Amino acid sequence: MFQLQGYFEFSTIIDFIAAFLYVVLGFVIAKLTAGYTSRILKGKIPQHLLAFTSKVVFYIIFLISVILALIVLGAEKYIAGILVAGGVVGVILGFASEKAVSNFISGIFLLVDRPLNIGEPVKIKNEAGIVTDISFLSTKIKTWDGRYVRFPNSEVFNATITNYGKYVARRLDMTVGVAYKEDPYKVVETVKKAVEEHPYVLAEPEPEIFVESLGESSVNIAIRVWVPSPIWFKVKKEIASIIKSKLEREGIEIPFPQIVVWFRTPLELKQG
Amino acid sequence: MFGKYEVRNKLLIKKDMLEINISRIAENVFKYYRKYGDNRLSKKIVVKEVNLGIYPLPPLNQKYFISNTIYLRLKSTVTLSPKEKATVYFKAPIDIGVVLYKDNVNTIIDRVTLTREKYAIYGSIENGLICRFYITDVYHEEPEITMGEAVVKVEIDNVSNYFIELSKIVIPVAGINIFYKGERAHYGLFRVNIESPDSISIRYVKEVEIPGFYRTPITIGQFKEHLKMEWGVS
Repeated sequence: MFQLQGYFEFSTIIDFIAAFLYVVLGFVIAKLTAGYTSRILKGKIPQHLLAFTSKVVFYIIFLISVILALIVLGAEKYIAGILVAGGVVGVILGFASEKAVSNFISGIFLLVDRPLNIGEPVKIKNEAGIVTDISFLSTKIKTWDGRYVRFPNSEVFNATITNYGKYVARRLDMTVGVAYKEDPYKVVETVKKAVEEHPYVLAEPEPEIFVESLGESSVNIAIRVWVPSPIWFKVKKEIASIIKSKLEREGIEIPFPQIVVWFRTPLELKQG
Repeated sequence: MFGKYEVRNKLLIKKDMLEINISRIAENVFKYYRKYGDNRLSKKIVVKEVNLGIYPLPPLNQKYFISNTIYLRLKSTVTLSPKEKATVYFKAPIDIGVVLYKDNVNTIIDRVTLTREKYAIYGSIENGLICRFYITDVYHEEPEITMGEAVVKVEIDNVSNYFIELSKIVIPVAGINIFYKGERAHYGLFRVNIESPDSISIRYVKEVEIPGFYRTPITIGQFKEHLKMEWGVS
């Protein structure tokens, strides 16, 4: 019967077939188990951890099947050597690909620290959009104007990240200027009624409307309302129009910038 | 008004400002038209015969964000002495749902909110709950309700050694089959158990029926029996 010399001197063709089947079967079982893990954990753990857990399950099962295949081939006494060699190669590759390793480790820290999750609106290094993927090496976002931006994880980890969707609600701030002749109490009440008409301006925390400053041309009214984070921008688009319409209906003037010009000597009109 | 309808050619339902009008416009085509104030909806339905249900539904927002609870702010507070029980009634909002049937399949073709739609956070900005918000009186017997409202019966059991002042209550309404009879709607019974000012749980008692009322066959969201009111009731 055909026999291989060297490492696999005790292996027969049947052992090779068995080893091959172990690897194939291991691959299939790993795929199925990873898929099953993903299904049963869906909704119970965050999406980025779901993808991570599924990958870990796959690689562990597949690695076990590869080790079993090596044992079938009679290479069990070399497994330790292979692992050591693998470790040495790993170290060499690690030095050679320092950035990749740095990104990988940063990716793990990002998964643990969770400053952002898939689907959340974020701003990273002046790029804002929705997180579409967090993998071991990189984080991808789809910007508001539809661009795909990929950040190496090491950059994300070291960058200042603004996550607009981390909390259930966000504050929306606006300032509206009204004419000096208007009664500030009436203006505050009118603006309050206007913002409260919007269903998505939260009743609690209560909206805060107050005279913020006495400007050059107007009395400035500050508007601070809380809005569910997923529809912050939708409310922002709508609320200014609602306030303007309400002020107009109440006859409250929103003034243009004004400059009072005073002449030291009275002007003389000359008839030409 | 609530219930099931078989429409062969035409159906017109008018109640206060709400109007639902279904009429056959071709052999297998019906026109659905609904009006509530300025809020109008018109659509065509391709079906031989319309089997329709009009039911009270929990007023849950699932379009822009998830809200599975109703936050009832009480106009006047209720103070419970230690080891005291009380049964009270509140009013809470509902949506009017129009459901289309064929065999065992159904779909909600329209949902109308007749009460003022508002939301509030129960808890903190960081991890509180976004709830449908409604202001209600406290009643000691079943109150009269208007269209778009339902009765909520609440049994409160203060097993703690403290006086508890109740100024708000959050009820989990996802997955609940609301009761109906004619134009009246009823959420059923909730039990509030107060073990301490910081440990309050609220449970929907699914087993309790309301005499003379039917349960809607439609639910919205995933049923959650318990809710911990971890931010208190004051």
